[in-house]
Amino acid sequence: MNPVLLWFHTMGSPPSFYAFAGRCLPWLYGIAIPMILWGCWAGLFEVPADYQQGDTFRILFVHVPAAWMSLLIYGVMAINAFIALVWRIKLSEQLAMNCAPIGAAFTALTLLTGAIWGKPMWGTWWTWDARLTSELVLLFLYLGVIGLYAAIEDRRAAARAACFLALIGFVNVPIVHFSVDWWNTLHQGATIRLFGKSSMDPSMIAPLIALAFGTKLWFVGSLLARTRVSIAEAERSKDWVHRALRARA
Amino acid sequence: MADSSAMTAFSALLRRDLLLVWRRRGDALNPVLFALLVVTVFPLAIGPEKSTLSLIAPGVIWAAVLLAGLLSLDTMFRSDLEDGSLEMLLLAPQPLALMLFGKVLVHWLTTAVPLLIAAPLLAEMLHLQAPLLPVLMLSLLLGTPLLSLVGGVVVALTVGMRRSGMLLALLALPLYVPILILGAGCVAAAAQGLPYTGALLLLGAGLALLIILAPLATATALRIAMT
Amino acid sequence: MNPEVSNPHVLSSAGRAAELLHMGEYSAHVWTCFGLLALLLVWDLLLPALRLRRLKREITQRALRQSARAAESESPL
Repeated sequence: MNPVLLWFHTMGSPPSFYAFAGRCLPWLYGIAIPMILWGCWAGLFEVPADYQQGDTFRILFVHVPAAWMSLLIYGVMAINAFIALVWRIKLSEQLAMNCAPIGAAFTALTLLTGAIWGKPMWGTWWTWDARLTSELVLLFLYLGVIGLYAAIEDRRAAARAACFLALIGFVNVPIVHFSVDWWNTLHQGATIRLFGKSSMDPSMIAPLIALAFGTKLWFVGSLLARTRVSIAEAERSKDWVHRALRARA
Repeated sequence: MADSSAMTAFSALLRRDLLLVWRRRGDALNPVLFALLVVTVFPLAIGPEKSTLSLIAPGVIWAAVLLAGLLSLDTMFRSDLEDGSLEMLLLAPQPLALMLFGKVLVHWLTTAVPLLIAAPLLAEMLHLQAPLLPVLMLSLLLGTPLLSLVGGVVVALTVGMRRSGMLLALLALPLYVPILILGAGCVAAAAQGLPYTGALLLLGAGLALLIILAPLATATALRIAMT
Repeated sequence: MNPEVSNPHVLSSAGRAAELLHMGEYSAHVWTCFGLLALLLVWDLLLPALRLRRLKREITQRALRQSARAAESESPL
């Protein structure tokens, strides 16, 4: 059997995935954490202040990676949801379900930092522009997946229902963005562009990329860590779990 | 052969469900009552000034219709779930999507059509400008079946849950947002003298698409939820 | 001329530290955002670890109860 296929089949076995994820974690966090730390430090201290917005533009270094994460995580969730529904692969179910809380957290961060940035920028905490409104709907989608998964007793049925919901939501996101965009152009006065007039100073790019990559790697690590725990919880009566957990003490 | 049996089953289901609703026709007016309450609350809360009310009228009416529809979604499958006919439907040889389309159709006929009839009254209560009424009616005519179709998918996912009220609203809202924006937005556009036919055409296109797709999605959701 | 006044980018280290912490009138905004990010990452890191620890505790407790029950059922014999 070709080695890639073999690896996939091996990952389907819970103890193999548990061990594999455990081995990956130190590497993932080991690279992600320095990247994030450097990105934050550079964004805060190295990049010169924007002549229009002063120092508040630094919020961008948190807001933009968070927004990218909120969308990327939904994509990963949707892909796993699709695999879980079509091929009934239990690992994909677990991966999809564990994406949701991380995605919700980053979406909430995007909304909060967007609001905090909005106050100095436009004098208001909230604005119904296309991006923020779509982010809010995205948050509702994440919460819906989490809520639906929690509401059904049988874990596998719950995962399947929540995966179906995630897929429907995935189709819905571009539709929502398009309709809110149209609605904003309709009410002329309310149109506000998130980035305003300031263009990107080249020194801003490096910290932004560092934070973008760092958070992505962090997400992979976090997903593996959470899925690992979910699998252990699901198989808590099995021997391999007892051995794996005692081995850590 | 299979086609005629499917259509016979479809019309039988329609007849049965409409008869069931007719027997409790008082209940069927609940959505209208709710919409009336919502429309009454707004002038009391915001003030009776005509210009303000006519400004918010299309949005408030749309919101009232949407909320009333949301509250009545549960009735789509509840009684059938309780007497076991929903399981029978799943086991029946007739195409499930067609049967579920019938259920959504009944839901629309019994909850949204009374709202459509009441809409001119609601419009008058909020001083909606007279030339906007046809646009409002058209947007509701296209939008309410969309709400029922999309709502059917969400209700199917949560069927059998005892206290699903808030969860249902949370799941339905993201799907309702584009419909609401296009529907209320097109009336708002007409109010400003801007072109509004584009939005109506989009609603129409969405309706044409979802008449086919939504029952299929509802069938999948029901199978997932009922295993 | 005092270099701190003529060229605003050349400051003593104490001056720079003060400037960084104050960062114009909106320093609270900026620091809150980075703080929220830190909070999210810490929460995200801790949660799986806590769940794993709770699982381990559950399993050891159940194993203890089972062995206690087994010992009990053997003793009357």
